[in-house]
Amino acid sequence: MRAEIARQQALPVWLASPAIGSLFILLAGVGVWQAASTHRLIASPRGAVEELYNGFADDSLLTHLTWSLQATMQGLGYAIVIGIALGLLFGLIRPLRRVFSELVYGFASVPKLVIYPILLVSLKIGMRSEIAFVAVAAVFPILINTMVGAQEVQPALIKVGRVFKASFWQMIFKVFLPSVTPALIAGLRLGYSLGVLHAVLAEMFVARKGLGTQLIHAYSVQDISRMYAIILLAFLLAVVGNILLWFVERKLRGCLA
Amino acid sequence: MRLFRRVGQSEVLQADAGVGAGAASAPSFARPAARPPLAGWFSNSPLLSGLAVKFVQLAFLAGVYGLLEWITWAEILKPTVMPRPHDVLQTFGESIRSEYVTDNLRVTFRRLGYSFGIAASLGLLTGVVLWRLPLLGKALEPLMASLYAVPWIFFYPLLLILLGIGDKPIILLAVVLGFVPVALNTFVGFREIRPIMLKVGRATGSSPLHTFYKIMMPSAAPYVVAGLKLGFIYTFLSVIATEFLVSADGLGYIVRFAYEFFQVREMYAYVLFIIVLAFILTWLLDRVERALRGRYQ
Repeated sequence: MRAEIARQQALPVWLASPAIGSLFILLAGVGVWQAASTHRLIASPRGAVEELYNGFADDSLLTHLTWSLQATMQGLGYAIVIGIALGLLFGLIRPLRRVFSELVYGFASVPKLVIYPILLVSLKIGMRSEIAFVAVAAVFPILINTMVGAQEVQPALIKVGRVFKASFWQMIFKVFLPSVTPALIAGLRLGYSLGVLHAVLAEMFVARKGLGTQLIHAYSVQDISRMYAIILLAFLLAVVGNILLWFVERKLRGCLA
Repeated sequence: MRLFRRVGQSEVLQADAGVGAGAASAPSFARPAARPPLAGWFSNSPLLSGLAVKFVQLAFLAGVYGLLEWITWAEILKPTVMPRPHDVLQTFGESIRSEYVTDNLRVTFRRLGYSFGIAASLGLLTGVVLWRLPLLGKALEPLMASLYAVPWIFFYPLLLILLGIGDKPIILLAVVLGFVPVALNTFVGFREIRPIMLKVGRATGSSPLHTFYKIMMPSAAPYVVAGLKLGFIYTFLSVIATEFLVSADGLGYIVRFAYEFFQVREMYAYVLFIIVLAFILTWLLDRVERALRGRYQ
């Protein structure tokens, strides 16, 4: 990690700035896409963007977007509450961690998509099963990162808390949560990306509404540019949320340092 | 595009720390005298021995099983929603022996083998090339990390048109997903090799093979192994997910089939089968990782 930081500083400042790098990759990506769009199965970037615009203009995408977004956000909400609570519990209390960490890592590598039919059977097709599915998919990165972050709280800080006779909740809110926050936000970013991905995947399988259902529909009527428009939208959804969380992370890092 | 790289790497590094930190935490501050009552909860004193941990884990699983058994016995959940756990276990036992499941398991393993083989060799090769050509490495590293962010699996309908139903689209998607962590970690790992060590090797006239085993591997191996592990898990997830969505055989497919034909008990049994498989695979990977780490440290 230290070598990583040193290497980043060795780069010229303007090149190392994420904005320039992102812009460059974005342009390169669009260029490759444009070049590849001569193939009949690949819509041109312009066609996809136009289709996206049309979709929002005639309202045929917005309801599905809000549906997917609602499922993602509510699921993520549950995942955050459960992930942080269990993560702190397992991270701070060593006996619990020794019992449960293997189970957590094991479940984290179970393909979540196969859980979806079980949720469909028990919660019926609709918003509730999707929310539960997003929560199941997003909870593990949050839980694991909180757990690992909580393990690495500096002993000196705990000592200081003890010297000042901090109460249980003071220890949690003043000592542990601030130290865990960077790792937690990294987990949150991963959880968010996974949440969006799994929401759309679930909708591609069975759902009432959502971007995934539209994607399958566009595919079945061979509307290639609409298909690309929806994939682009899902991609943007994941990336924009990720960038927002990244800004939060940087702000928090600044506050804590 | 640092943010994407962070996504990948923080995960790797933290998965790393998760394995290492449990063993290496020394309770420097655990002093029995004058402790506030709750302090014990936060200390790192080993309260449970290894055997006791296993016992508590088993007890926990047994408790969950008992709870599920009670819920279905009291008909809080109807049998069409949640079959009785012992019925599921019976079906599970039958399904392990049935040809239907073992055939599909073989199909999944075949795809897993191909895709991990390709992903790992491609990733290792790319990582080493990027390390040897630092300028290219600097240029391509963030690009590769941003490959993570693209939801490739949404393209599966197109891949079906291009490659047809069968192994090819499944393997292709799994390779795309599994190759990135291997390449990035190999790159990062080889960059950890200190140039002075290579110089020492050259000065003492060690053979290339000797240099590889004694100088390069000890620095790079922890990263490379973590990358391979992550790559394997990603290919596994991808293969099962794609099978679930599109395929006409494989473990993912039989779950979907059971769901679509309302065979609830079979569905639960197959999902349990996949969960058990995932646990066995993570356990095996952990053992391999630990063995390799032990060898090179």
